Amino acid sequence: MKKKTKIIAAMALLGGFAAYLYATTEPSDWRYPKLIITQLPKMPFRYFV
Amino acid sequence: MADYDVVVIGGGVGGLSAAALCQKAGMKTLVLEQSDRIGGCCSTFEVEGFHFDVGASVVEVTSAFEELFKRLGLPREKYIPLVQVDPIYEYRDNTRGISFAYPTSVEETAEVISRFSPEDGKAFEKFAKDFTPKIIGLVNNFFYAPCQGFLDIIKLVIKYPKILEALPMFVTTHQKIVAKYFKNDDVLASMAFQSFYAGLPPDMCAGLYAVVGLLEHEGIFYPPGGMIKIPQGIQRAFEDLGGETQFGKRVVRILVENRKAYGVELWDGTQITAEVVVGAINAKKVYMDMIGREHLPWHVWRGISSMILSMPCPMIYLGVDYEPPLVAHHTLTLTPPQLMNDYWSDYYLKGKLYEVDGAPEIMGLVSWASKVDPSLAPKGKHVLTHMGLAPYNLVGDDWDRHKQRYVQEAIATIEKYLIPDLSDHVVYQDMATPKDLERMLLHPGGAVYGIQTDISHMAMFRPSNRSKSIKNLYLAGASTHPGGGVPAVVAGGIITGGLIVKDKS
Repeated sequence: MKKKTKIIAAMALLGGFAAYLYATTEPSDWRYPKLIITQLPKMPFRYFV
Repeated sequence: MADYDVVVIGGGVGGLSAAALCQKAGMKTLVLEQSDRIGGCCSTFEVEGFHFDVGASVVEVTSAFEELFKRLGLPREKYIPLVQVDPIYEYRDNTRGISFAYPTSVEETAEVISRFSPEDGKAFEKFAKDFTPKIIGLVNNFFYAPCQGFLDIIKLVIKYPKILEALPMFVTTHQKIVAKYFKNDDVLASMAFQSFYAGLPPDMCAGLYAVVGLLEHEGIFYPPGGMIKIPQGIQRAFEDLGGETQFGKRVVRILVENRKAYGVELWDGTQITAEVVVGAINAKKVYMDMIGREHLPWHVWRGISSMILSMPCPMIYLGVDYEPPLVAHHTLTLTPPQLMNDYWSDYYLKGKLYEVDGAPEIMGLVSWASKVDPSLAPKGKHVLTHMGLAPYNLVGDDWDRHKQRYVQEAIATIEKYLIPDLSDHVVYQDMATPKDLERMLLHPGGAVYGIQTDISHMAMFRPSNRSKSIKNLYLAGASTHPGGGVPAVVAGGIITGGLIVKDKS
C-alpha cells in the first residue's frame, strides 16, 4: 500500500471514530470529545512515529 | 565491525528488560546509564541513613516480571523478591474525621464501603465482577503485543477477540464508568485520583483507567530494600547472562546515516558503534534531541513534536523520627472528581498550584515504605514520600525558587488532612521538582509517565517500539507502547527485546 493511501485510510478510520464519539457522547460531557477531536488531526502523523 | 550488537541508552526497567532479552539471544549488549544509579524513576537513594524511592513506590501486575524472567529462563524470586502490601490504600480526611482503607480482597473492600454506603458496597462487588476479567485479559494480551500498526491490532483481535469488549472503555470516560456504579460522594472521591496516573482528570481520562485500579486487588507488592531492587534484579540477570552496564555515560547523540542508526556519541565525544540502538528514555528526547530534524521525514517530526507530555509529579522526601500514625503503604486524602476536573482547568493548565480559600493545598499520594521494610530508615525512624501533581511551568515563579515553599505547603496539607503533628517529627526533608526530575532522569518536562495516555497517544499512535523512520533504532520506556508505570514499562521492554531478537536473528 502506498503511503498516501495509508494516510487516507487512517484518516477515514479516525473520521468514522470521531462520528461514533459524537453520536454516543452526551452534550454535557464535552471535555473528553473535545480533547479527542483536537487531537484527531495529529493522529495520522503520530502513526508514523 | 560494530563495537556491540546492541547499545541501550538508559538503565531504567524498560531498557534493562530489552537488554536482558537481547543478551539472552546471544547479542553482545551494552547498557549506558548517565547517572551513578540504576533504575531511573524506579530507583532508591540514600541520605543520612534514610532510603527514599525516587518515584515509583509500589508494583502491581507482577505478571510482567514473571513473563520477563520466564523468557530469560531465570527464577524471578531469586532476582526480585517481592512482599505483598495490604491494605492497598487508606483514605483520610481529618477535617471531617473520616478514615477508611481498601484491603486487597474485593469482598473485604465491599464490606468497608458498605459501612458507610451499603448500596455502593454491593456495587463494588458488581464493578469488580464486571471488569476484573476484562482488565486482566486486556493486560495479558495488549501488554505484550507489539502495536506497530493496524495490522498488529488485527492480529491481536484475531488472537484475543475478547479485546473488543474493552473498546467501550476507551470511548467513555473514567468519570462516567465510576458514576454508573457508585453514588456515595466519598466512594467517588476515593476513586478519582487513579485518573491522574493517565495524566488527565476523571472527565477527560479514558474509562479504562477507572478499572485499572482493580488490578491492585490482585495484589500490590514492594521489594524489600527499596524500589531500586527491581532494576537491580533485572540488571543482575542481564549481567549473569554476560551483559555489560556502564554508569556515568551520558549519550548526547544517536549516530545516524541515511536514516540508519549505527551507534551513539557520549558527552565527552566518545563514539560507540552498534548494530542496534535502543533509546530507553523519553521518545521526544530520542527523536528531537538525540537524532534531530535533519534525519527525520517531515511527517515524523510533526508527529513526535505534536505529542503531549504526561503530567509532572513533583516528589517530596521526608525522614521522620517516629512511627507515623498511618495504616497503609499508600495514604491519600479524598479528592472529589469535580475537584480533580477543576484542578486541571483552573490550576494545572494555567501554571498554578491548587488553593483553597487563598491557602495553597498540595494534593498527593503519601507512601510509607519503611512500614514494609524498617531497614529503609535508621532505628526508630521512618521514610515518607509524597508524590504530587503540578505544572512544569509555574506562572510568575520558578520551581528552583519555589521548592522550599512547596515542601512546607505540602507538609501543612498533610498535617491538615492526614498526619496532624507531622512537622514536629520531620528530621530530613528534600524534594525533586519537575525541573529536577528533568535534569536527573532526562524526562522532558519532568514527565515521569512519559507521554499523556489518552486514546490519541495509545498503541500505534504512541512512539513505536521499533522506529518506523530510522532503521536499527528501537525504543523502550514509559513513552512507548504500552505506557507508563513499572509493569507496563517492563512489558514494553519485553516487546522491544522481542522485536530486536526477531528482526536480527
